[in-house]
Amino acid sequence: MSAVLKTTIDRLKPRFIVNLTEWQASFRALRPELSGDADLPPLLHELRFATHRMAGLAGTLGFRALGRLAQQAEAQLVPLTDATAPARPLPPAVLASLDALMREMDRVVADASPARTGR
Amino acid sequence: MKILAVDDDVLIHGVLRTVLAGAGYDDVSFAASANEARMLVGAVSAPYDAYLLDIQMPGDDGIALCRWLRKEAGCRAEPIIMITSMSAKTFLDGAFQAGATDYVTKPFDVTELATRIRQADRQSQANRRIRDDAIRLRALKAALEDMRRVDLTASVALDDVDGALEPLALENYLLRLGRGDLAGTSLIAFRLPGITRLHARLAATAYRDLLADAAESILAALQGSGALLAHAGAGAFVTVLPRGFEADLDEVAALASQVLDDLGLIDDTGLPIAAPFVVAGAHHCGMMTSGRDAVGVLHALSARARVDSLEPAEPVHQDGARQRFGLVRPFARR
Repeated sequence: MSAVLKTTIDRLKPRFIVNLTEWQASFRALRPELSGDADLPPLLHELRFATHRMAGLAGTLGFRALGRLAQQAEAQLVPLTDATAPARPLPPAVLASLDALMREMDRVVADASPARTGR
Repeated sequence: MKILAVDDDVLIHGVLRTVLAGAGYDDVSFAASANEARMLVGAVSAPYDAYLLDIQMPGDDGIALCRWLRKEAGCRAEPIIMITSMSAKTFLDGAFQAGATDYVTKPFDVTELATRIRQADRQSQANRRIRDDAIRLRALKAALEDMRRVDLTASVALDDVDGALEPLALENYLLRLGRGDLAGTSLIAFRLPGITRLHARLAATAYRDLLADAAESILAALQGSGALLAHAGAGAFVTVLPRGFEADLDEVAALASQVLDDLGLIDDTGLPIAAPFVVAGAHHCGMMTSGRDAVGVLHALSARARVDSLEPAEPVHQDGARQRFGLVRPFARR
């Protein structure tokens, strides 16, 4: 990787972390509703859109594990959002995939926090 | 190379800007949606040379944008590289059906992305060369057409036709012959009645080709007579038959018309060219005919054929009578 590209990526990382923090909050709010009786399609579309963006960016910016988990979660969500009425309860694999992604999001956000980075 | 990159994620814009700059491409515009991209494409005076389109975007996706670029924005051959995540590769079929030329996957492999962009650049340059060559070719063709354009009444040199001379050369040929040599020589004029319309309808090259084909058709119909021919302008052809000619001239005209028709000539728009011949006049040289007399007859026949050609089509032999030229000395030799 060229020095210029590394500089660009380093400059973009904090902005990505800001986005990631927003997604983290959103996922935390949505996650309990996936097991409840909320209207699923809008929730699933929101999650799919977020995982898609995360999958595209995270790997490029060096967060490989996060990118891979986001891809896996997106792959689980695609058939559910394409279906007219997703089955209830959601398959355990979907929830497990989202939970694994949320754990990695927590880890990345924690690693990037000022206390850990010394900023 | 002028590039338009479309992705709803502005962080991706930053990555793409740096990668593209690192590969030597600084002239990059960014749009965050298909609608914004359409506005940019519509606003630029010089078109983009290549496009990078994210497939999955809110609103119209990259596939719809790709289809729009190909069908409505006139981007017929410019490279369009689709950007897709690994998990969305199933969308690629639709992207290629919409006219995409390549794709890259997110997360970006910087080396791969730069390679694809350079490939697109090569394709773009090749497209530009083809486009420029086509423009040059059209200009050359137009210039050539202008050079080849002739007035309706001007005679056209038919250099590629064996037996065809310029009118002056045909006159000189007659002037060189003595009285005895001219005896038995036949002069026949043919014309193409619809020549005014054809001259207006055909491009210059097609008009010249028609005259050459017409001359060859007449000479084919007169085969064996040793005929020499010149185009006298306005679709009039004069022929000199040194060995004389004994045949029904209407049949000769009909045969020449058939030969021309068999060539299946068409104009620039693909419409058939119908050009039947009519005999405009004929003269048989006697023992006392001098070369100067023969040239005078040639002028008269040419003038009559030209004038008749410019008039509405009308058969020369209105009563249907056959015009036959009996030779004083059959196949007289000079």
